[in-house]
Amino acid sequence: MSSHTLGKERPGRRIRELIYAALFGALWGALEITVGSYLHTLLPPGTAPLVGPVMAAIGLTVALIGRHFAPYRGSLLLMGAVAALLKVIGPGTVRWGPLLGILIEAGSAELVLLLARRPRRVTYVIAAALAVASTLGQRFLLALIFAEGLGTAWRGLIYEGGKMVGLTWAAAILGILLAVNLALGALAGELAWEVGRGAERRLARRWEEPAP
Amino acid sequence: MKWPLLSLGLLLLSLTVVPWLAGLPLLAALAVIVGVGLATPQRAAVRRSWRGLLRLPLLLPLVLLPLLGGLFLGTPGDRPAGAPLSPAGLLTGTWLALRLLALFLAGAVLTAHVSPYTVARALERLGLHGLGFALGLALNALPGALRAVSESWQALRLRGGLRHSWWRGLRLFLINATVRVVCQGEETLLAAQLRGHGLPERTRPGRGRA
Repeated sequence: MSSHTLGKERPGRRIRELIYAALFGALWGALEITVGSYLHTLLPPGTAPLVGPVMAAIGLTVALIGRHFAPYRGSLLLMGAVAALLKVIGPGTVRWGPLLGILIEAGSAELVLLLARRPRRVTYVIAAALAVASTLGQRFLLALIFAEGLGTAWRGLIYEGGKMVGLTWAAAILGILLAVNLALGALAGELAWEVGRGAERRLARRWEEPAP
Repeated sequence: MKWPLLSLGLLLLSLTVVPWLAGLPLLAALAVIVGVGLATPQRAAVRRSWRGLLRLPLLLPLVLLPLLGGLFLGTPGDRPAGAPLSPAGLLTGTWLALRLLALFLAGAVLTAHVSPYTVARALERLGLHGLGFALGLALNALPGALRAVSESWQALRLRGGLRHSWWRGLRLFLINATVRVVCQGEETLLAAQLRGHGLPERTRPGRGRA
């Protein structure tokens, strides 16, 4: 069974893909609620610019694995929407940052996969890298939405990033943060591709075995 | 009971997005929340969940916020001679604590009335068919999926965890967990198809003439 025909050969393809999107979206949401909250609480304040990208990389790994089993346009967005809604329903108050963050990450990865048409390893790596790197831009978007000013968002990013990497030069701080985000995303994309393919192969073997 | 709950939802939303809400509007919001909570048909459940809020981790911030506000907020000039607390800071901390209390109380009233499945149904009614179905399904399937992931993790830990060749170990763990989640998805699919999901409307069971 080839990589992206898993659902197409069986009846009820659409409902199967919807179920897979819901399942992997639920896992993403559960990870955001549990691991995300722990990371935000346990890690020292100086590492704040790293928590978002780490959570984005974990979430996107799950979502991109799910994309192997729900290979239709918009499935990543659906997973992101389910994860975001679970985050709203979950414990704690509604916080717009993580909510918008999840949707932006899912949207960026979806856009890359949409443009690439045929999913490949390199597409997954680029999609995840760009989606994780979008976490850097999220604070500017939030600053625009809540009218806090782009300058404040920029100063906050450079201040927190500078504290983390121990530098004061803005361009170097931004470069390091961007490189870390892209590397984390690329790793997530590579892992998602490997795991998705491996799980597909194993499932294909299991389904093709004759019943005892 | 639809409109009071809807107004409570709007109130909760405004309490969440307007962090500087203080003074009379905040007191009025608190009065509305308590009023709706006591007048609702599910008042017993609301009272139970309000009593559940009487726990140290929730009460501590309510007591500490005014004190911390008095100690650290406000300017040194507004403190009366010899007083360790600033009255302005104390007031700011009190408003913060009351806002937190209002959020807790309103959240408890809403969760006593609105189940996640109601949210899913509302999304379906708004025309977001896939999303409503997916959310309902996610809530149903999540415990099973988490169990599958946790069992895969335990199996990996028993074999030494990620100490030897962490990349390979992580890959195998994720493949195992994914296969189990997909198998669970197949079971869900069978159940959904038995209920007629994914079939044309007129061929669904229970839709024909008796």
